[in-house]
Amino acid sequence: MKILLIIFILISKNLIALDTNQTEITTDEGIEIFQEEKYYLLKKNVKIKSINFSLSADIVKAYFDKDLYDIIKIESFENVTLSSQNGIIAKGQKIFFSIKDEKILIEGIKSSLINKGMQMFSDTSIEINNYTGEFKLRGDNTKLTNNDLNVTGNIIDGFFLNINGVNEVNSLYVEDEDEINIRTSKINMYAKKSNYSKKNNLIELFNSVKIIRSNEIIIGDYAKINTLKETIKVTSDKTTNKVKILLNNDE
Amino acid sequence: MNNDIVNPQFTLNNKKKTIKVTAEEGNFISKSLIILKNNVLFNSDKFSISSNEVLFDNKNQTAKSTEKSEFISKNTKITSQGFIITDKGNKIEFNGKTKLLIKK
Repeated sequence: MKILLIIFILISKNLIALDTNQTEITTDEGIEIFQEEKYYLLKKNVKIKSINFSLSADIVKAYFDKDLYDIIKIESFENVTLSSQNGIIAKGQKIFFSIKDEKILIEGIKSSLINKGMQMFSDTSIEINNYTGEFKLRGDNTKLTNNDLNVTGNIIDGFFLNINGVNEVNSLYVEDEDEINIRTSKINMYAKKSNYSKKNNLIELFNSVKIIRSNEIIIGDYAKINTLKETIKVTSDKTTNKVKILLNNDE
Repeated sequence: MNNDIVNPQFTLNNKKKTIKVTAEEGNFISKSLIILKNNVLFNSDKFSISSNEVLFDNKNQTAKSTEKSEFISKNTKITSQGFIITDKGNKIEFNGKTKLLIKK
């Protein structure tokens, strides 16, 4: 009897499981089909489940290509959560998702995206192309964390590379009218603008530069940091002509 | 109840397609409003919608149902608690708890 019950449960589970090629969409308040404009309007408590991704939101526009079954793009609004088979978890007030090329744009306050070791946050927008690795973050409370790297600034652009299943920042451009911050476990950097290249093991800092490392604080207008050799070169522009090094003797 | 029409047939026409409307029974409410009952079917070359009761407006070329409805197109199936067809069949709205299944 027990064996029969187990067999029944296993069969039931298989029947309930989604077909590999099947997408299931449920809504509480219906679906409108706009055949000329080629989209479905899905209303209230929308849940989309497919083998590649799942999404929940309150309103969704699902665009199709030639036929009704060929969904290519999703625009979703209000308390959106998107989880992809590739490990992406995105949350926000609006999420635009291009299915074919895995381009994701998240808009609104408390936007977030977690992608295999990378975490991105913003109150304005997060844009990511999961195929090329390109990302763009904009606005207040914008933050990127990856391994021991923490980055804040109004503009964060860059590329990531997938290395052994973990996404690592390959290049980075950070800018903020007030101040950007790049922090690792060994060094804490402030400036108005920065470039990072993993390939060249180089961080460049521009304008109002402040670097804190162990007991020293270095202040200047431009800095070059070799992340491999852990060397720092700070210079000043001609107007200030000053580089300050402050040593903290507290310890 | 007597039926005004047995096996009624109508069409919804727009620029791009014709939707053929059939049922087993029909009763006129007014000159253009007809209640279609039993095996009501909206059929075009792209899709079909079936239900058991539909209010059809022949003049304005619209249709409305509050009964369980099923939409079938190539690799696509929608089940809902009713539907509304407007804009001569260009706009189809499925009401209430709705499920869309897509195979690709």
